[in-house]
Amino acid sequence: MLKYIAKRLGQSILILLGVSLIIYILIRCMPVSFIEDKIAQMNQGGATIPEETIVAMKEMYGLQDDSFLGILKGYANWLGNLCQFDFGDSFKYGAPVIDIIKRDMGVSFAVALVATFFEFMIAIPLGITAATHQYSIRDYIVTILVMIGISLPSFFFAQILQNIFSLELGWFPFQGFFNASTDSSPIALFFDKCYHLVLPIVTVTVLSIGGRMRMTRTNMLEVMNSDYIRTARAKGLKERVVIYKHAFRNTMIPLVTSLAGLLPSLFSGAMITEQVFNLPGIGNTAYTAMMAADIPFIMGYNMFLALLSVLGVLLADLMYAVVDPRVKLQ
Amino acid sequence: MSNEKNTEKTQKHYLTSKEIKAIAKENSKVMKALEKKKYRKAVESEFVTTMKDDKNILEIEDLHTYFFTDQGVVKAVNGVSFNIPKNSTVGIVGESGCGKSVTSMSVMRLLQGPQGQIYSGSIRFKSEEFKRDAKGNPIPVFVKDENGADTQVQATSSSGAPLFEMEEKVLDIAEMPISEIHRIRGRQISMIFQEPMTSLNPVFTIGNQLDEVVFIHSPGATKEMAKKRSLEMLELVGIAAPERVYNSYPHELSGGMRQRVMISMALICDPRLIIADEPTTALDVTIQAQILDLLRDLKDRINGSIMLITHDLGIIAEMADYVVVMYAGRVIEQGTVSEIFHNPMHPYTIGLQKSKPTMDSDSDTLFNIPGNVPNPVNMPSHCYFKERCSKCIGKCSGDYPGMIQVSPTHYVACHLYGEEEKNG
Repeated sequence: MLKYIAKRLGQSILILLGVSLIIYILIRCMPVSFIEDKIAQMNQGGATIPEETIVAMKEMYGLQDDSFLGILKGYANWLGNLCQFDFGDSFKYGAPVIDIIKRDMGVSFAVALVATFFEFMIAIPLGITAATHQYSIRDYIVTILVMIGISLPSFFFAQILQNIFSLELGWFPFQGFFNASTDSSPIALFFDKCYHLVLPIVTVTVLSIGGRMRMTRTNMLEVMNSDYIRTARAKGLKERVVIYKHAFRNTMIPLVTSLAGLLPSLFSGAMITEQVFNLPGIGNTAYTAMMAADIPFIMGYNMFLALLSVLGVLLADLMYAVVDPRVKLQ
Repeated sequence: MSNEKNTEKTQKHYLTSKEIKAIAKENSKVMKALEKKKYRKAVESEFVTTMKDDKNILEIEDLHTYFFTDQGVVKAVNGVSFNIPKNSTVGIVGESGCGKSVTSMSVMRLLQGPQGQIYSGSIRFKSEEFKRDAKGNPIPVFVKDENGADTQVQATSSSGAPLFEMEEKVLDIAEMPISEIHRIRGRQISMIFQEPMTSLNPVFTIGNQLDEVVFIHSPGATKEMAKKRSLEMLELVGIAAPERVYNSYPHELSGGMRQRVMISMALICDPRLIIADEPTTALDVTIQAQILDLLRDLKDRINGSIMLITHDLGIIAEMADYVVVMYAGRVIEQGTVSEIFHNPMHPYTIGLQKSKPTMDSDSDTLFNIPGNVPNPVNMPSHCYFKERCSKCIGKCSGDYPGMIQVSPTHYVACHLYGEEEKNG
């Protein structure tokens, strides 16, 4: 088991190296440049920047050479720094990338964690009832509602929520993370923050229930038609035990696969939702950095997600062995 | 029923959308009514009846089990009647799709709803029920002391299970609501399925799955008691290392071992009736013989009855006391095993006998009955075997033949014998 994990971790390093190279090349090929944006801003101010200053600036940021070799050199440089655990400083925010990720991750993680909790708590029971009452009115209602949930774009649904619950009813704040006036006790500040996170959490939850519910329903239907469920019924078990013990344990096996995607999604932040609600989450930060071609930050952020994805896949594989006795890891 | 409509357009290959809609509408109406009946709350008097003959353990009378499909109503079991006497083995034979398995599923009420439904008929089962006190709890049997007074120690059976007072009741399984069916399933009627490879839950150990049966059916069973009983059963079905098997998962066992586990699971509560639905089809011949020997031994040991479903006539000849021959959802001939084998009367039974390979025949080719079973949606009103029958007479174009008694135990549904019966 330990040997297996060690082997997988070794493979992960190779994967991460490949991922980082691809991302670096892609970012360098983006049609935005941090320096040119900056110069354009300065020029608007009326000043003319001499050519040698521009060259010096590019050199300072390590962006002087846009040829393929130049990009590779830049990558080698980035990788060298990484080996000393230095992700570099963000162009845009002027601070170490790690510090910014640490600073902004909390909000996103809180939103994602709570939303994921509700997603599972709602989607799995819905999927099970829809499957066990297949083709009944209950099944149709659940399926239709969930389809609506999947189909809604997040910016649209978020704005509908803002419109109804904030502008019309005034129950929740429109956007932001806390009210500026609340600088009183830490407890009051905490509750104020929670209050601000209600609508974003609802948005993320409603939009993610659909996929999970459909997955549960499909798996459950497949399991309910299998021979061992018939055996369980023939034993004289109550239907409740058949569903929640015999069928559900088998439904869980494919659900575990989705753990692979769950880990990065907990930390990546909901880019668009955070944008709409103007939350200082990592998704929002990454979006701004992307628009500004902030190479060190985008690299750091994407590598962070890549690492989480790789770990998520490993975790899912390990969980497989836990929930399915037929799987042996070696 | 939409059936009248279906018979008119017998040879059509497709249905118009109007017809499909009509079928769907009719089906959903009938299915809804039957589902409602299945999930209703019922008082016991609604499904307690009496047996026609007290020697029987199971009496199936005019059972109709239908499947409501988009193409129309499939009458998988269409008026089947037969009895299973106490301590006997009744073999049910017939080709694939003739309704053998559906009959057994109807007895267990395991039909896939809402499409599969018992439409009418009765399945009377002599059930041994826990006697219950006013609160609905089973009444324990206490060990008597020398003076004949009850001590506080509960009596146990030879296997260590606590004993309760029992009473016999005749239940109509077809009328029971599904919420009551667990009184019968598993404890009194148990089933051995055809596919041992997929019939065990892959994520639980054998021990877990066996113990579970003990827990449901013997109130007050402890963990040690259940384990003891499970190991005992595993040993009984001839598993050499019961302790190892007890802790294994199904995928770690071979097909024959899994079928043994299935059998031990079916027998763990000493059922009064075992339904074996092609128990040896998925196994190779040497294992087949072992499993059949095992079943026969066990039947005598637990004093139960077996309903053996198979299409292998050899197995029937070896195992059964009575034989029921089914064709296209109906019983066409039934009798004792010697009557069916030495004096088959229905042309279909005769054909079946002829198509069995024998050691002493010189012929290179095997006899086969020409043709196919008629389309189950559009059953003709005459004898279903008419198109394939070599002994057809004029009368065969008439109504479906009724059951004719040729000896006290031998019945046949064929026009060929109608006149004889009247004369004799």
